[in-house]
Amino acid sequence: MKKGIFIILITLILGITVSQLWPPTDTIGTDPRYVVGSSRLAELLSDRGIGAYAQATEPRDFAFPEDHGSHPDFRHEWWYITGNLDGENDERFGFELTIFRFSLTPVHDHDPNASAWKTNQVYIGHFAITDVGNANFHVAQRYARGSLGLAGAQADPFQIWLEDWTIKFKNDNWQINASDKDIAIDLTLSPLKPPVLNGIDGLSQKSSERGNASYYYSIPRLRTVGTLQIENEDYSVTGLSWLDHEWGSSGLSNEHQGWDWFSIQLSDGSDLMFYSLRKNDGSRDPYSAGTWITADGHSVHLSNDDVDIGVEDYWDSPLGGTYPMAWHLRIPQIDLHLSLRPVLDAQELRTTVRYWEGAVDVVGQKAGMPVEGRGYVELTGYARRDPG
Amino acid sequence: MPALYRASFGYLLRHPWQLALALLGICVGVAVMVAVDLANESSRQAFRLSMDTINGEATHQIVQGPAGVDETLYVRLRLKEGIRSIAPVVEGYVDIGNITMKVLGIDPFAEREFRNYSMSDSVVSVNDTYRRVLTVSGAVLMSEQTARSLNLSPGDRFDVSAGGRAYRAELVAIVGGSDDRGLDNLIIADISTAQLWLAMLGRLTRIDVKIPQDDATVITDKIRNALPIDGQLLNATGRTRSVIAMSAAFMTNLTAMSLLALLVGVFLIYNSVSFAVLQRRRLIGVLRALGLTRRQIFTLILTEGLVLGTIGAALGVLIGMWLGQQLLVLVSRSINDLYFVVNVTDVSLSPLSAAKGLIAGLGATVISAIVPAMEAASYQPRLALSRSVLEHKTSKLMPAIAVGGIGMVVLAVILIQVSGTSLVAGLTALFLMILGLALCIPITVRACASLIAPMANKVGGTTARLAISSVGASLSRTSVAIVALAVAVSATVGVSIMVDSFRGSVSDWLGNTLRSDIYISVARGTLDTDLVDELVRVPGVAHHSSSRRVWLESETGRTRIIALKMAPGSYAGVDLLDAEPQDVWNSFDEEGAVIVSEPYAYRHDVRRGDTLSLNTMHGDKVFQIAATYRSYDANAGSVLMSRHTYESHWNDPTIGAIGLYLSPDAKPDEVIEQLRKVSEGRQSLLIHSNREIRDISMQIFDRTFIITDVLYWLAVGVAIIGILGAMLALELERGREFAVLRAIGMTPGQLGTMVTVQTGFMGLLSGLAAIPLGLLMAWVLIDVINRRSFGWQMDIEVSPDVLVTAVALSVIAALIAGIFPAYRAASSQPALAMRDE
Repeated sequence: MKKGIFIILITLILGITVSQLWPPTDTIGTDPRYVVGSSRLAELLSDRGIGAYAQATEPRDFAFPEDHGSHPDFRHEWWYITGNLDGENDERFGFELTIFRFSLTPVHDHDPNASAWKTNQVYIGHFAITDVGNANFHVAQRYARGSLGLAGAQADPFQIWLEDWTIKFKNDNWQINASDKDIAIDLTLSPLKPPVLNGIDGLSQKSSERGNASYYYSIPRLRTVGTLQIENEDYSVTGLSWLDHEWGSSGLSNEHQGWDWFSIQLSDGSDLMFYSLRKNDGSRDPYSAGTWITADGHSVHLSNDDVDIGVEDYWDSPLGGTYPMAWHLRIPQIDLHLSLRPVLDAQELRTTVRYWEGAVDVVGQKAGMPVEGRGYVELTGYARRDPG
Repeated sequence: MPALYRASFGYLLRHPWQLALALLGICVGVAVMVAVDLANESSRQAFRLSMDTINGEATHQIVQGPAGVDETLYVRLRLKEGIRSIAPVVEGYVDIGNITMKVLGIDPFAEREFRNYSMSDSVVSVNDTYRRVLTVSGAVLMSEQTARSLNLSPGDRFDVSAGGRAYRAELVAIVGGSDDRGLDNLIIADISTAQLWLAMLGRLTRIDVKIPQDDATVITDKIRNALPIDGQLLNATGRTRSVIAMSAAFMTNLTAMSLLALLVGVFLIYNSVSFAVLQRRRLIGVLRALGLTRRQIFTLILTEGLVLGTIGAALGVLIGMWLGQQLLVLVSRSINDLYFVVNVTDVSLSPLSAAKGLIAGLGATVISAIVPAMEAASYQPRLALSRSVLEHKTSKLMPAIAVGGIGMVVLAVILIQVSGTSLVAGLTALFLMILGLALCIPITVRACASLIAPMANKVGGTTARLAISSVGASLSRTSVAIVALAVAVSATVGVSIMVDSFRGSVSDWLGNTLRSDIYISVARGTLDTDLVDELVRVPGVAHHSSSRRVWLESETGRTRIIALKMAPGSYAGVDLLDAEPQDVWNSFDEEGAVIVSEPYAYRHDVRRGDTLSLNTMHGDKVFQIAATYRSYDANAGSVLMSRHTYESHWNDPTIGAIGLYLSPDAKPDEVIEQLRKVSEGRQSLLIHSNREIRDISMQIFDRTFIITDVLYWLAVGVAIIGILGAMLALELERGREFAVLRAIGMTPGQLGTMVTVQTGFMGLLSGLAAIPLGLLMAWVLIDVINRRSFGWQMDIEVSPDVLVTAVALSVIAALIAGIFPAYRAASSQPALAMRDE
C-alpha cells in the first residue's frame, strides 16, 4: 500500500474478491500458474496492457488539493487513514479506513448508449476499529463499482466514497464517515503538518525496474476529533491520524513475499514512516525505504541501510501464519531507538486478503532523551492458509 | 402354507402368457401414471430449481410497474438508507440460434449474499474473467451443461439476439459444478450487458432483498418508506409459487388423464386375475375338498394378486420412467408455449412419484383382485361351481349394479352443481360419471344381446346367433372387457369433441380478433419507437393499432395487462360478451375503463359494472370494468385498456407489437417488402400476415393437444389388451363347448368366425356405449373442467365423424384382440378338450 507492492495486493484483492463470489480460487494471485500460465493474461499485462496505463516513471509536481483526488489513468490508487484515539473516560481505540480504487482497463470508452453500470473503475474499502479496553477488533469490507454513484471520487467538493463510507476534504479539513453493522466513525481530521512526499520527490521506487514505482505522499499528523460507535455505544474521541495516498500502475512483482510498514507519531512532534519489503527468501529488499519528518514538517528520505529492525516477539494467527509482533527500530543517523508493541495482538483483518494492521505503542530514546509515541503497523504476506 | 403358494405360483409360471398379460395390465396403468407424474414434476422441479438459482438467497424482491425498477432506487437504498443486503437483477430472454436462454444480469459486487457460483475451466485467470465480465460488453458466464448444449468453450464468441437486435457475446468462463442443474440454460452476465441486450437501460427487472429474521420489520419498513408509490416489496417464494400456480390447472388435467389410464388398467387387472382363477376352478375345488377354508382360498388369491401387483407396479415404475422422458418433451413444450420458459433435459425420478405409482398399482390390483378372490372362495368343495350358476348370480346382480351406477351419475351431477369452481371436484365428478355409466353397460349389453340374437340368426345363421347370444350369456366375463373398451373409446370421443370444439372456437375467435392485415413484433423485446413511426408511414398502410402486453405484480399475484391503441377496424376484433359496443368503447377510450378477458372474469368473479384495483405509478387506482371479452389466453386472464389509459398510469412508452391495416388497393406482399427494407439493419422484425399469425396460433394449439392424444391412445392400448384377455378367458372356459360344437359338425372356420363375430359384436357394443358416455364426458370436459381450469367458454361442436370413428375404432380394436382367441378356438382339438369328461 502506502508502501508499495500494491500490485500483489491488487492481484490478491481482486483474485480473492472473485474467489469469494465464485469460489474456489484461493490459489489465484499467489499461484504463479495463474499469473504466467496464460498467454492472454500475459498479453494483458504486456505493454499493450499495463503500458496503456499512465506510469510512475518520473518525479511529478504535486499540487494540492487536486492531488488528494483520484488519478483514474493509473491502474490503482488508495487513500489510507489510520489513527489512535482516546475516549473521554480513558478508553483507547485504533481505527483504519481505506478506500482502494482499481482501473480494470487502461481506457474506458464512454459510450453514450451503454448502461450506466458500465465502468472500468472498482472500489474496495476496509474499515476496522480496535477496541483496546474490551480487547475487540472489528472489521468491515465493501466492494462497489465506480459508477451510478455507488462509489467514486470527485473534485468539487472533493470526496471519495464507497457507498456510504466517505472521505471528504473541505476547508483544509478531512471529514471521514463509515459505518457497518456494529461499528461507525464520524471524524474530523485537521492536518498539523503539510503533505510529505515520500521516496524521491514523491516517486516511490519499488524495485530497480523502471516504472515499478508509485506516487506516494503522506499527511503524517492530523488532529482528530469526533465520535466512534461500537455496538450502539457512542464515544467522543480525540487523537492523531495518519493519511497515506498512493497511486501507480506497475506490473506484477513476484520477488516479494510481503511488507512490514510502520508509521509512528512521537511525543516530541516528529514522525516516522518506514516500509520494509520482504523478498521471497525472507531477506529485506534494498528498495525498502522511509521518511523521517521533524516536528516542523521538514522531511528526510530514509533508505534501506538507514534503518535497523529487530523482531522481539511473534504472534500466531488462529487462521494460520506467524506474524512478528514487537519490534526494535534503530536509526543511527538521527540517534533514534524505538520499541514498538501492539495494543492488541489480534488486529488481523480477515478480509479477502488476510493481513495485519494495528495500533502500536512506542517507547524509546531520541538523542539520549526518552520519547514515547503511538503508531500503526501493517504486516502483509504472513498469512498461511492452514493453521500451524 | 408355503407348499400351497408354491403350487399357486408354479401354476402361474407354467402359463407365462397369462402371467405376462396380468403384469402388463398393472404395468401399463402404473407406467402411464408415473410417466405423467414425472413429466409434470420434472417440469415443475426444473422451473423451481432455476428460480431457486435465480432468486438465490433473496427473501424478498422489489418490483415496480411494467417497465421495471428505476435503477436509482437501488443506489438510494444502498447509500441513503444504508440497506446492504440488496442486489440488482436484470433478467430476460435472448435467442442463441433457435435456442432460448434466460439471461441473468447481476452486479458481482452485490451478489455475495445472494448467489454463489463456483468458477472453473477458464482459459484466463479468474482475475481476468472478472475484469472481462465487468468491462467487456457481451462477456458471459454459463454452466458446463449450458455451454455444451450451445457447443461453446470458454473463449468462444457467439451471437445472441434480443428484441430483434443482434449482439456479440463471449463465453468467458464456466461456472457451477457439473451437477448444478439450476444453472442450466442460464446465461450470467454483468448488469451492464444485460441492460443493453434486454433494452433495460436505466431499469432493473427487480431488486433482490435479503431480510434477516431478527430485524425484519425495521428493514421492511425502511424499504417500504423508500419505495416509489408503484414500487412493491414482494415475498420471493410467493412470486415463484404464483408463476408455478399458473400451470397448475394444466398439470392437474394431465394427471386426471393418467388416472384414466390407470382406471382402464384396473379393468385389465381384474380380467387377468379372474382368468387365472377360472383356469384353476378345479384345482381350487380340490383344495377346498382337502380342507382349505374359504378365508384361506381368499387370502391365497389375494396374495397372488398382490405379488403380481407388486411386480407389475415395479415394472410399471421403470417403464414409467422411460415413458416420462418421452412425455417430458411434450409437457415442457406445452408449458413453454403457454406458461413459462422451462428447459427440462431429463426426468428427475422423485421417490414420491415412484411411491405414488407403486401404491396406486397395488391398490388397483387389490381392488380388482377382490372380486375374483371372493368368487374363488365361494366355490363349493366338491367341484367348482358351474358356469351357468355363476352367470345366473351375475345376472341377478346386474340391476343392482346398474342402479348403483345411476346413483353415481346423479351424485356426479350434484357434485358439479355444488362444487363452485373447484377443479378437483370437477374431475372427481367426471370420474364418478364415467364409473357410473360404465356400471350401467352390462345390463344394456344383455338387453342388446337378447334383442339382436334373433335378428342375427336371420342374417348370419346359427353361428352368428350363438356368437351374439353368448355375449349376453357370459356377461361375467364379457361385460368387463366391453366396459373397459367403452370407457377408453368414450374418452377419445369426449376428448375429440372437446378438442374440436375448442379448436373451432379458437379458430373463430382468431378470425374475429385478428383484424389487421399485417402484424409486426420482435422476438422477446419491444419495438424501436422511432422505427414504428416510420413503419406506419410506409405507403399502403392506412391505419395501425399497437399493443403492449405486460405483467403487473402485486402481493396478490400477477395480472396481465394489455394496452391497446385501437385503429378504426380494431374495435370489432374484441368480442364483447356481456355488453353492447356502443356502451363500452367510449368509456374505454375516454374514461379509463377496462375490459377483462373471460378467464379473468371467471377467476376473479367480476363482470361489467364491477371494478378492479391496480397498482399504478400514482398508487393504487380503481378501474371500471366496461365489459368482458372472449379470449383463450392460457393464464389467469388479461385486463385490456386503452394505450392512453396505460400511459397515464404507468411510465412505459414501449410498444410490443403493431397491427397494420392496409388501404384497399395496397398489395400486402409489396408492403411487407417495403417494411423489411425500412427495418433492415435496425431491428430484426417478425412481420406476419394475418394468415400466418392464424396458422402459427393454431400450430401452438395443436401442439398443446398432442400430449392429450398420446395419453388417450395409451388408454385405448390398455383397453385392447383387456379385450384380448377377456376373449382368452372366454375361449378357455368354453373349450368344452367349442369341442362339442366341433363334434356336432361345426368346422374350424365356422368356430373361428363365431369367435370373431362375438368379439366384433362386443366391440360394436362398446363403441355404441362409448357414444353417450363420450358425449357426456365432452360436456363435462368443456363446461366443467375447461371452465374451471382456464375460465374458457366454448361452443360444443359434435361432428358425426368423431362418433363413427369411435364405433369403428372400437370394433377394429376388438377384432384385433379377437384374432388370437379365434385362432385358438379354431385350432382346438375336440377330442382333447372333451377328454376331461
